[in-house]
Amino acid sequence: MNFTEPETDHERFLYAVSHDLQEPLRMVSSFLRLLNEKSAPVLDQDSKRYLDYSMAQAERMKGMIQALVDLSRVGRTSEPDEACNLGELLNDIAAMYQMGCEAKAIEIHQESLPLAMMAPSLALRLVRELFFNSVQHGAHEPPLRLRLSGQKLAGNWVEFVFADNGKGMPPGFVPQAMEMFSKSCRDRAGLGAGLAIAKAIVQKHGGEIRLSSEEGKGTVVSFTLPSNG
Amino acid sequence: MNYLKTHILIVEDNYQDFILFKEILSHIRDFFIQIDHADSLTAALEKVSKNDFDIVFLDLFLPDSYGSDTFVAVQSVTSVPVVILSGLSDRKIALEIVKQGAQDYIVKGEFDSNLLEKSIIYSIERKKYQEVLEESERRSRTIFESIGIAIAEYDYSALHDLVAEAKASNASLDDFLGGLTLREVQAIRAKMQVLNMNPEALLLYGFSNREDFEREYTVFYSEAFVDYYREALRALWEGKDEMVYELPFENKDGKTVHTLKRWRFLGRQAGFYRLLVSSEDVSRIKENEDRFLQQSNVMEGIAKAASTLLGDGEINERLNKVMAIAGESLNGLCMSIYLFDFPQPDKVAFTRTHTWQKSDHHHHHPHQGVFVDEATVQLAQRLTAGEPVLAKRDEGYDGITSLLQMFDVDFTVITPFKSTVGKGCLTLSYDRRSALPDYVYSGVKTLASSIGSALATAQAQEALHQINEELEQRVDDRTAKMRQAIRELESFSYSVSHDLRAPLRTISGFTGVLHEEYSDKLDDEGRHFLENIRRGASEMSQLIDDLLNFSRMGRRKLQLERVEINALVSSVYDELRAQVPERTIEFTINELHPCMADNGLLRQVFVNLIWNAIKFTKKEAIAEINISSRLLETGWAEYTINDNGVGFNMKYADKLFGVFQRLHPHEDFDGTGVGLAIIQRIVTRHGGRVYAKGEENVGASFTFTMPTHRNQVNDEADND
Repeated sequence: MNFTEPETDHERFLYAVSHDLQEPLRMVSSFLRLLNEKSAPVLDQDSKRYLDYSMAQAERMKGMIQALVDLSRVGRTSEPDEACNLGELLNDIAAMYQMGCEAKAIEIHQESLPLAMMAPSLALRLVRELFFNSVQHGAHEPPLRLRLSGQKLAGNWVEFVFADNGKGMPPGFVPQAMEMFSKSCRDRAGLGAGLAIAKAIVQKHGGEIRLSSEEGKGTVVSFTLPSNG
Repeated sequence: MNYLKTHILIVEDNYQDFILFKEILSHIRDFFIQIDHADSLTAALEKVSKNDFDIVFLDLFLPDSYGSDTFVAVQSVTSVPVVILSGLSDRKIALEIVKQGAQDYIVKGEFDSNLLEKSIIYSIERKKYQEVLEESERRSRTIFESIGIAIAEYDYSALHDLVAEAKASNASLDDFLGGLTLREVQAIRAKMQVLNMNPEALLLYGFSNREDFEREYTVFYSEAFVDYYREALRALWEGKDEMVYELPFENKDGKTVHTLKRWRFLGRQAGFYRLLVSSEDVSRIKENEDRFLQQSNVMEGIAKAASTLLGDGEINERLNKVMAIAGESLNGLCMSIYLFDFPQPDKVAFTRTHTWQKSDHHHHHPHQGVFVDEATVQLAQRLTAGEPVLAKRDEGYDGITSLLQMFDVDFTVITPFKSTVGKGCLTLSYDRRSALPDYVYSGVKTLASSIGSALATAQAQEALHQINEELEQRVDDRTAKMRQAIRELESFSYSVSHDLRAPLRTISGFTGVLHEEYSDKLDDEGRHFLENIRRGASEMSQLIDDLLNFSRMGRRKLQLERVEINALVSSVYDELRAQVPERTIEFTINELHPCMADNGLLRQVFVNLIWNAIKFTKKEAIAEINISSRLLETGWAEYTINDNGVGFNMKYADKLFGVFQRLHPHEDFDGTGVGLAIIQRIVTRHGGRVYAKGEENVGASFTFTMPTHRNQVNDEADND
C-alpha cells in the first residue's frame, strides 16, 4: 500500500501518537517480559500478579496503538480508487471466517449490488469491520443473518445498508458507537476501534455513515460511497 | 469572458509543492495556462516587473521573506491579483492578508483543479471590477471638475450649529445677524470643510491649487463677506434650501470680481451637512443679466444633477433624482434614459430605465419598443456613432421614425452616451419648438456622459459586491471549517489520550510498587529491566499529558486579569533554571509591559518558550537568552524571546506550530513537539499572533502579541 506524508493536524496527531508511543511501549513490554522470565525465582505471588497485570495492559495498549496506526493509514492511503463489489467481499470474508471456526451458522442475504468506487484495500477493511462487528455481538437468536443492500442515488452515489439480527445496543450507546475506543462496542480485541475505522473509511471517500440499533432486534449501518458511474 | 490564455506566476520555494501545483493546473482544460515559477521573493519581484501576469500564486514563507511582508513586497510592485498559498497552520495569516487586498487564498494540499479554476477566475474578475470601479470614479470626478462654472461643496455643520444654538437661546434673527463681525465670518468659514472643489472655483479666487486656497482663502475676505454670510445665515434660519447672492470682491491677484453665488443646502447626507456653492463670474455679462441668470440656473442645475450622481445611495434613486433636477432646470416636459441595442442589424430595441415628467404633463415617454423601420434604425446608428439627434415634429421628425411618433411631443433632444452597460441615450422633450441656447446642449451632453459613467460605476460596484460577498462567504466557511477542525482534533485527541492513559496508569502503578517493594530483592539485571520499564512508561506519560494539555486548551474559559510579566518571567525562569544547574546561561529580562491575559495559560506560554530556549541552546558553552517587549501602536503588547541556540531553517517556519512537528531529531532534543502548538493555541485564543524567526546554528526568536485591555479579547469559547 502507498501512504502519503501526514498532512492535517488530525493525521499528524495519529501519526505521532502511533509512532512516538510505539517505541517506549515496545521497550516497556519487552522488559516486562524479561523481568517476568528472569526474576521469577525472587518474586512472590503478589509481585508476579502485578507483572501479569502490567503485561496485559501493555498488550492492550499495543492493540490500541495498532488501531490508531490503522486509522492513520486510512487517512494516508493513496491507493487509486477502483470499482469494488462489497457483496463479493462480504461472501469471501464470511467463507474464510466459517472455515476458521466451525459450526457458526451465518446466513448472508444480498441483492445485486451497485459497485462502489474506492481504494480496494479499504473496501476490504470496511466490509471486514462491519462483518466482525456483527459477528462479535452475535445473533439474538441464531442463525446470525446479515443483509447487505445497495441503491443508487442521484449524483453518482450509492447508499449501502448493512443490517444484522444481532443483540443490538442500548439506546445510550448508539450515539458514540462509532467513536474510537468507545466502550459501547467492544470488538474482537475489545477495543472499540472497528466501527471508528469503518467510519473513517467512508468519510475518506466523501461519504456519510449512520448507525441505528435496537436491543434484541439488531443493528443497521447505512453508508454512502461514490458509485462507478 | 476570455480566459483562453492565462499567464500564471507560482512563487513557491518547495519544489515538490510546485510540481504538485503544476500537475493540478494541468487538469484545467477550459483555458490555456502558461506557468512561470519563482522560488524566492527576489526572483518573484524580478519576474513580476518584466512580465504581464494574469495572476500570482504566492507562498508566504520564502527563503528571503516570510509572512505578510512577502505579500506587501509583491503588492508594492504590481497590481496583478495575488492568491496566497498557505499551509494549514498559517491559515489565519492568509485570511488576514486577504483582508489586506490579496484576492483569495488556498491551502496547500486541500485544493483540486476545480477549486483552483474557480479561484483563478474569481481573482481575475474581482481585480478587474476593482479597476473598472476606480476608473469610473475617476471619470465622474473629471466631469464634476470640467462642468464649466465654479463649484465647491462644503460641510456646513458649523453654520447649522450656529443657527440652532442661536434659536435655542431665544435670540431674535436681527440680534443674531446684527452682531456678526468679519472675524466671526472668518472663524465660521474656517470650520467649513471643503468636500469637493473644481479648478474653476480655485481660479475664481486666484489660486492654482487647493492647498494654497485652504491656507490663504481669507486673504480676499472683506466687509462685503459679512453681508454675504448674513444672507446665508438668514436663509438657513428661515429654513430655505437655497440662497442667491451677488458678491463683488477683490481676489488674491487684486482683481475685482463680480460673482453670482448660489448656495444650495442639501441637508445631511453621509455624515455631512452638504452645501453646494456655485459661483459665476458675472463681471463681463452684467448687461445681459436675464440671460445670464437663466444660463446660470441651467448650468447649476446640471452641476447639481452631476453632483447628485456622485452622491451616496442606490443608483436608481439617484438617477431618478438626477432626472428631476435636470428636467426642471432645463424647463423640459419629460426626460428619460434609454438603453438600446441591435438584436439584428436592421432591428433596434429601446428600453427605458429612468424617467421624469413635469407634474402637469401626462404623456410618458414609452417604456420600451422594438423597431424595424429604416428611419429608427438609422437614428439608432447615428446615436451609436456618438451623434446627438434633434427631433422636431414640424419638420417631420427628421424623417419620421416610429420611435419618435410614440413620443408625441413637439421637440426632443436625444443625446447618446456610452457605458459598460451598453449603448444609451438621454432624451429631453419640449412641448414647443424653440431655439434652445447652446449651453443647454452642452449641459445635456455633460449630463448624458456622467449618467453613462454612473451606470458603469453602479454595475461594477454591484459585480464587485457580489464577488466580495461570495469571497466573504467562502472566507467565513473556511474559518468555520478551521475552527471545527480544531475542535474536532481537540476532542478526538482528548478522548484518545484519555483512553490511552488508563492502561498506562496500571503499568506505572504496578511497576512503581515493584520498584519500591522488591528493588532490593532483584539483582542488578532485574533492577535494570525495571528501570527501563519505568523510563518507557514515564516517556509515554509525558506524551499523553502533553496531548491532554493541548486538547484541554479549547475547553477552558479565559480568566482575564492584568499580568505583571517581569514577575511571571522571573519565577518561571528560576523554576526551570533549577532543573539544569550544570548549564551556563546568560538570561536577560528587559522591562516588560504588563498585559491582560489568563495568568495560568500565559505562564504556560513562557514555560514552553523559555524551556525551548534552554533546550535548544544546550550545545552552546554560554547560552544567551533574552526577553524583551514593546507596546504596539494598536495597543497590543508584543513579547520577544531570543536565543543563540541551534535555530531552524526559515523554510520550516510555517510548519513550526503544527501539533507534533519536530524539526530536530528526538535524540538531540527531547520533547514531544506539542509545545509550540499549545503556545499558538493560547496566544490565538487571546486574539494575539505568534511568529518565529530563525537561522540554523545562529539562533531563534519567538514573538507573540497579547491584549492590554479586556475588550481586545474576543474569546471564541464564549461564542461557540
